[in-house]
Amino acid sequence: MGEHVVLFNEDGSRTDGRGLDELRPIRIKVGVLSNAQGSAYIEQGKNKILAAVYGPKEALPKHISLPDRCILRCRYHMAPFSTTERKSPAPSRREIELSMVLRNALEPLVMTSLFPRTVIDIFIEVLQADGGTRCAGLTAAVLALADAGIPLRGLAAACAVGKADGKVIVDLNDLEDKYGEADMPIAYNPTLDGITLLQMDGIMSKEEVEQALSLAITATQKMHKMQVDALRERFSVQRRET
Amino acid sequence: MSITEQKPIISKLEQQELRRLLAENKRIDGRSPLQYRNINVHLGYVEKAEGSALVELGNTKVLAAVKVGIAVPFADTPNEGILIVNAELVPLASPVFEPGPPSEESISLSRYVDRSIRESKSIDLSSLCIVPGRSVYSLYVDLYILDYDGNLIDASVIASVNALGITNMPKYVVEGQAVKKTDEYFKLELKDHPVSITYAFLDDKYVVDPCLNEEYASDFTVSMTVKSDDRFCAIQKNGGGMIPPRKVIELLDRSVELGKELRTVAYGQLTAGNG
Amino acid sequence: MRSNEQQQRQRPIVVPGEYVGDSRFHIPGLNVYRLSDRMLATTVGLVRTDGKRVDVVALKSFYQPKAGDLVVGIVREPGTAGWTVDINSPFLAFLPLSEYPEKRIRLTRDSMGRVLEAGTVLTGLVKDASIFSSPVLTLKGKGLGVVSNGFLLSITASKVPRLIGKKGSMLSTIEKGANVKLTVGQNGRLIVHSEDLNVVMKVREVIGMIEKESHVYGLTERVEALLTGRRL
Repeated sequence: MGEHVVLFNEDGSRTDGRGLDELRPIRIKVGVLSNAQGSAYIEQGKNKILAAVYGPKEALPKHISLPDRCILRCRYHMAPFSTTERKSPAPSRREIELSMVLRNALEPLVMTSLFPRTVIDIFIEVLQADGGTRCAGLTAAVLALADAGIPLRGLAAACAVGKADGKVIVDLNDLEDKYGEADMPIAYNPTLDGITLLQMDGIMSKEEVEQALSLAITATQKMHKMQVDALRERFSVQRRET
Repeated sequence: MSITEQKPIISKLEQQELRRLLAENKRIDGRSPLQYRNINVHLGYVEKAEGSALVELGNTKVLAAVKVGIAVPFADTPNEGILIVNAELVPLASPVFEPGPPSEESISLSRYVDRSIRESKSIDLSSLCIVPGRSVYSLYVDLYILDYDGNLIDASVIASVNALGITNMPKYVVEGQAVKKTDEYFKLELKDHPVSITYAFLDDKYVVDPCLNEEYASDFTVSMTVKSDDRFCAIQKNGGGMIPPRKVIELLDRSVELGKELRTVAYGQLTAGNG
Repeated sequence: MRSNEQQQRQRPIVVPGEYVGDSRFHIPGLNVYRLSDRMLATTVGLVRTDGKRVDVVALKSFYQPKAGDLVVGIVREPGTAGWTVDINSPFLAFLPLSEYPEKRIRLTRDSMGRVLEAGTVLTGLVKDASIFSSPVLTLKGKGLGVVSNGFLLSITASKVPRLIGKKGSMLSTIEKGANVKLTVGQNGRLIVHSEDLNVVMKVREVIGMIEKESHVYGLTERVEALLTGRRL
């Protein structure tokens, strides 16, 4: 690439003032759509992402259904106005790949054998993108599934860790994603100690990957607490306006 | 939308057999869990491509062909050549490949191979610029899957790197306002020879270079691409299931070890200066 | 503001994956699964212990039919030898011709649509329900059949036990307080047997309260207060 993009300030902080292992400000709300069985909205830094779940419902046409379990249909999509340059509404190759990656990351959490021959539709819409959208999308989608009352083995949260200027960092923003040295999105379920989404591109030594992994676990555990709080809040009594 | 696939059914007996063998560190074709199948590389397999390689990894056959041209560079990288990887799951390769628009499997495969080449900086794209902002070289790497017996990822990475490694670039020069093709050629220089290692997980055990049945029976796979300096440039978990973090770390170590040997076998002809 | 007090008297909500007991001393019940020694919740809900069994009562769930359930369904369309009925569950139910009470009608495919039109509301009993096939309904039985008058309301299926109450106590509180008869389906649909819009509005308010506050103590008193117009 052309000019070198500066990713750290003089005092060592990142472009948005954060420390190396700091998450961006996160706001989560569960149960935001009236039609979907389950829904959740997440803001992470400048990311604004909506997730909705419909189902379980009868899988039609019949040939897509499975006789002993429910299937998942997942769509990750970016709105045309979500990025600086308008993005065509047609699914890009990246969105097709991410729809698959996210479905694979969500499926192990759902107790699918309880609903044979049904389908659960999961929609993840990125309204505003600022790096780490697949991770924020997954974090919201898990909440939408829980909101729909679909039995889950546990919750999972996702965070993209990576490297910039030789330093391992947590929760990459758009600049760091584009101009950094490595990007590693990870989704982790603390109940079962399992990673359901794992990707990396860039250049990292084995030690750096290990370090990033450990930071990702800590970060996703923090996000998991936020998910729990958001779910509890959703189902608590609404304060009466007296 | 991505839909849970109707996985080709592998019989319960075959599943059981695979798991029982694995419990004793054995595999259905006699390999050990960390052993690759035989690899054959035929460099320069198709003449009309500027670079090509047919790779046989056991029964899996992947043909990679490189076509070179010139193009307008992308707006955000005006001084860089263009690299595009496209994988075709040719219907004759397997009863589960159907003709039609690219499936999520083929797109995912294309993108992973692309990342393995691009992120490893095996090609210095900035050296493929003819007129900044106006004209650059374009490298199309087409992956043609001819026979599917598991582990398309590793076979495709090996095929692509071999094909690129022998690619003869037709030289273009600036003549006034135009860019003209000359009769000269120059070798595309590869700065690295990355290999990818794919692991298939059955319960909490894993095998390397899964054959078709192992892939079907597995819960998920993890692929890791390692450069010559033992650093990683791409990692991807494919499929559902969960992997504990400590297993990921174990795989990192394995990949560095296996990478060294695999690189010698996969790129032996390249580095010996053939083609 | 009673909100702080209310919060203290709320039962704690568990989330999927949360620990709810030790499987060496307890048995996993509703919405609970076992992972070696640990018992974990599968849905957002409230923990309830019944002897050795630990259940999680889901705060939101969809209806899963059980044989013997009374359900309020909506006819979808005639099929072969019966009708498909929407019972608000992941699967459409089936009402076979043989379970329709009037025997003397000779039905053809066309006339079936006229006997039970799409959109008809009916109360039926679940005869057969396995997760591997569509639930089967019957209209043969006392009080079952087509519902031509009244109002159709909905509540989350998992709140139905709360709506009915211990030995029907909550239900009789509502019926007495609003002076109306209700038919409550296990599938979260209920019929208000009345033509009075004011009565329906009252019942809707009560349903809304139960929906939101099913896990707060003192709900019965507040429902009573709402119905009699008293402020607690």
